[in-house]
Amino acid sequence: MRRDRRCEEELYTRYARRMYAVCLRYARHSMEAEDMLQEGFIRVYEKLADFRQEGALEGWVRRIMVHTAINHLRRKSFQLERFGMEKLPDRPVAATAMSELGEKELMTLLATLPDGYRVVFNLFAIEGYDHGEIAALLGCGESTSRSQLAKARRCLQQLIERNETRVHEGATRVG
Amino acid sequence: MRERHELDELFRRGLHDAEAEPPARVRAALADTRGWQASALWGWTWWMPLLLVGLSGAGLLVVLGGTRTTAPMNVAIATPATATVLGESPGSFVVGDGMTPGDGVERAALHTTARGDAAPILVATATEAPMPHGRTDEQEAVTPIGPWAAATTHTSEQRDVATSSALSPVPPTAQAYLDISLEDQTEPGPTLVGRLNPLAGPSIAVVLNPIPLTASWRADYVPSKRHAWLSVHGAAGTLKGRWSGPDALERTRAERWTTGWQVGLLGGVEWRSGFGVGVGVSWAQAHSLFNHTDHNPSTTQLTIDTNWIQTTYGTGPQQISTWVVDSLWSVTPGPEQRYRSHNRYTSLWIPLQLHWMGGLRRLRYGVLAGGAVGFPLGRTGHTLVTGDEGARVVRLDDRRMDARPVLNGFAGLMIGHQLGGSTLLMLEPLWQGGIDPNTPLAEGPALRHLMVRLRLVHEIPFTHARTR
Repeated sequence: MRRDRRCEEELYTRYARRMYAVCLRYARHSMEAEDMLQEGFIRVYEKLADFRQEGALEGWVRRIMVHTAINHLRRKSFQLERFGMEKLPDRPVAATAMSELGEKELMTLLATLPDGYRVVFNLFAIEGYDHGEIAALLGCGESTSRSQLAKARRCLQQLIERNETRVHEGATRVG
Repeated sequence: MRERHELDELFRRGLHDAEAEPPARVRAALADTRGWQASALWGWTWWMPLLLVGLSGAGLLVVLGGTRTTAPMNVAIATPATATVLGESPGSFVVGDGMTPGDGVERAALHTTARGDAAPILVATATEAPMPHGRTDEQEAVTPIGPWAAATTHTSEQRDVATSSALSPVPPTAQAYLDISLEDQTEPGPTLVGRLNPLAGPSIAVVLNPIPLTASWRADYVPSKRHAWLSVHGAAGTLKGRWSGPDALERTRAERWTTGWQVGLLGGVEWRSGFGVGVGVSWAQAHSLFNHTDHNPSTTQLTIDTNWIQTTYGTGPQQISTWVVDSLWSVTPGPEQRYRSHNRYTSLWIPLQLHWMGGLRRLRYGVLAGGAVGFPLGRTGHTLVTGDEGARVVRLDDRRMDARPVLNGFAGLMIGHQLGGSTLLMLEPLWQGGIDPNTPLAEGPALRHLMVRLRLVHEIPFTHARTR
């Protein structure tokens, strides 16, 4: 496919906002997300000729963006988390706490997760990858992926409960 | 079967289609890297050198055009005649009616005026025919000449006739009768067309110069409309750089720019108004310090980690306990590999410079601006290439590095001192940087120089072309 600057610009205009949100979920800070976004779009442009138009373009772009983000993290000596969260029980989170969480709060919660948890949780829960795909992508075993996911959930639970406690304490003081 | 979890659902619903506005710098960086909006300037790297060469040629033609010659003018030699003295000494008299040349000169007269007992004052008057381009105004060059010998050439900017008078002193007792004998020109050189022979004392001769003159001929004391100049220069200064191309970010981070210098030649034309144009060639080098550290993951370690996971499905009391055995491969970063090199970029520049320069006694001051095309000649050192396996250090002369011409602009001040009649020493603080808003696709550094240029200028007046 011949390189078309207008096409590239259009592609960026259409998907940059959504892809930046994807990158923010994987990155440790916004600067890193910017790097991922830029690198991801360059990769998209380079591979545009390979797009077979069998699926949605957005899904294809998103997949490249996710792969780029993971490669980026891997280059920065990303390691899966090994310790912590084993002893916390996995129990349901109160519905009230969950209803109070908006997009911004969810992003904040996600950002507080350690790298390994965050990546696996992102891939499994939000992107919809299964453990086999995650294992192949991250170069680890499926069980590791499962374990990391479970730990990520527990960590999130704890964070949400803390958040709920703070909200309730605040409400009591106001009352 | 894919397990379902309320947290997963919560985050998927909230974040899967979330949007966030990326900073404008990401778009700018992509535009920079990918050359967006460059369609208008696309291909300038090819036509700009041609344009500069064309302008250089035009400038050369202008320079050469300043010495063009015109057809020799027909200044007829007056026929031998005897002048008639009009009036009585010591009063006014006119001689030279017989000196009327043919084409070109309407009449020429020599006046001698005596005032009382004072020495007569000789006045040479030349009245010219209408100018070839339609001028009909009478140009009169009047030179009062004392009793001592004088030779004067009367000219004006567009004068086609020059009259030379070689006059000898006339004593106060000059005779009223003067004999003028006119001779044919037989030898090359100034033509003696009339001679006033007083009966006593030295003779008075009137000479019309028959040398064919050019339209641009002028006397030495008349400032020329323009002059050519040639200069040699050397410049040095600091610089900042930013890479363009696919690996721009990594490369820019890894490289710290230090100094740059250039030497070259410039030549051009400067008009009397102070405006000038010049073209030339410069040899330039830019230096930088490349510093990159590779973190090589060299060892992997398998760790077995087991734990119980209790999962609750729905809101029921049932809990499922799962014994998970983790096989965790952890990567331990290997030894760091550091790359340091002094990079050197050599290039050939063709600048086109416009300037204005004023003067106050020997002080010269002015401003200059222009554009220059740089052709990369050589690169030594190292840089980065990013592949699937990450950034990798390669040599700058690697075949994957695409070096193309770059277009720069420059502007600066001119401060100088006139060393001699036609030699100037100029000190010029300059800024030079990329003026292409969309960095070309080439994998090259866009450099911004801040430098001081020292330039030795030699001014060359246009010579009078005379043909016989």
